[in-house]
Amino acid sequence: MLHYRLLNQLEKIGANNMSNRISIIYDRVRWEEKELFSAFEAKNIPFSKYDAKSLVLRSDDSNESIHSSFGSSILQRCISHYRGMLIAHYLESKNCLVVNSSNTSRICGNKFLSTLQFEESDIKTPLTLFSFSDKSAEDSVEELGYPSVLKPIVGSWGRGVVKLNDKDSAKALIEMRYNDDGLFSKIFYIQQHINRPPRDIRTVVVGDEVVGAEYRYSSNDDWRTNFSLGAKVEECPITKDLEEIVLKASKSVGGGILGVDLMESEALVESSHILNSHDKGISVGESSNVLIHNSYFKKNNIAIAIKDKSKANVLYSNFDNNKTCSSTELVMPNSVKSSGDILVNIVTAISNGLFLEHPDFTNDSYAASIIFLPPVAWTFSIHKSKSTATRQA
Amino acid sequence: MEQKCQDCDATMKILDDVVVGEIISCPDCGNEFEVSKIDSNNVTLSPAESVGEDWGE
Repeated sequence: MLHYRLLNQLEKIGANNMSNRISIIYDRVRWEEKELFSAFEAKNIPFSKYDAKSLVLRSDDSNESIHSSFGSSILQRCISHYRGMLIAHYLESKNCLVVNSSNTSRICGNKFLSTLQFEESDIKTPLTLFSFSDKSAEDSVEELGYPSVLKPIVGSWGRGVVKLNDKDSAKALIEMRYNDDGLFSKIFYIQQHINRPPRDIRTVVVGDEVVGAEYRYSSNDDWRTNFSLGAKVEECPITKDLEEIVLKASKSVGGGILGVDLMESEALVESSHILNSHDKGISVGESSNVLIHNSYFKKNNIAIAIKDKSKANVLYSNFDNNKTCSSTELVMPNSVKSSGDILVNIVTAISNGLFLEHPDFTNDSYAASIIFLPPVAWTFSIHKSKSTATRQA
Repeated sequence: MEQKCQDCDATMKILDDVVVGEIISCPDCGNEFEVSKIDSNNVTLSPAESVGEDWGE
């Protein structure tokens, strides 16, 4: 089904060119190529198949000669980035329409270039530092802090993407990469680590339509969410917000048939009054992180409900007359890194029912205050006539 | 259809709808072969390209 929608989009991309023969150029026939061949046949669209590894392209061939061999529209499907991009360059020079274009391939096949493009188009991406030697790469990691993420600028499937957890491992991995004889091994792309749920979103864009989206959940033994590394997938609804940002990203790199990945960062609820909810004031969905700051919860049934694999950090907030303040796990910031103004944060709770519904604190746990202490420890105090609990992380 | 793996001699099953360019993996040693020719019921296999640094989606 996806491929029929893809073909319809191709008709739009190719404008009037669908009446001509289309060529599909590939270097591996995967199931996707086989599906495309079947879909073209089912729609009676004349097409030719070319294995890029068998091609001999002549510099002196005329446009007419190339059109008679390939048609004027080409679907470029090479798995090798440079092979595909250069073939696209060649065919465009002979006045062919190539999807994806050489320019889109050039940008999307290189994280350095796509990051610059996203920045220019004001698309939010993690802060990225580019360095060109081992020493400056180490400085970059020190600036971003731990963990941070080191990625090769060319490559896919999560290969070579590593999380730098501490100074020793960062130094070792940078040294290993610097001494590698790969073409780009001395170019370092180091990115801020985003505290995200253990999943990302892979969308597929064809032209100006988002034709599919899925959540990719990382496997138990890997933080990366690549399908090739064992990630599990499930359908993701295509919301208006998702569509808007994905199409903006797609446009910024020149458009075409693209996989656009997104990750969900911590949500921020700030300076909000959440009152009189008969159910939940804030419901934090599964695998989500939320930072609640300077907010006021009053007379809610449950002020904050936190589902499985989710975290809520609550800072400078007040709870007043809620039946239950928080259900399930309430996570405290135990790794405050900066010396900024959040070293001491106070949450006050007045006249609430059950403050924290949590396996550790179910024994008559009525709370009066939670005090956070910097920078790597917090003290959790629960005051009631019967019980007082103190924990240190 | 069946073919023997050129490395470990295991039997590789090849589906009837196989096309030229498709990759066949040996179930025993994991080596990959590319279908280079299909002639009636005879399939010719060549060693597949190894994964390149610039491979991806």
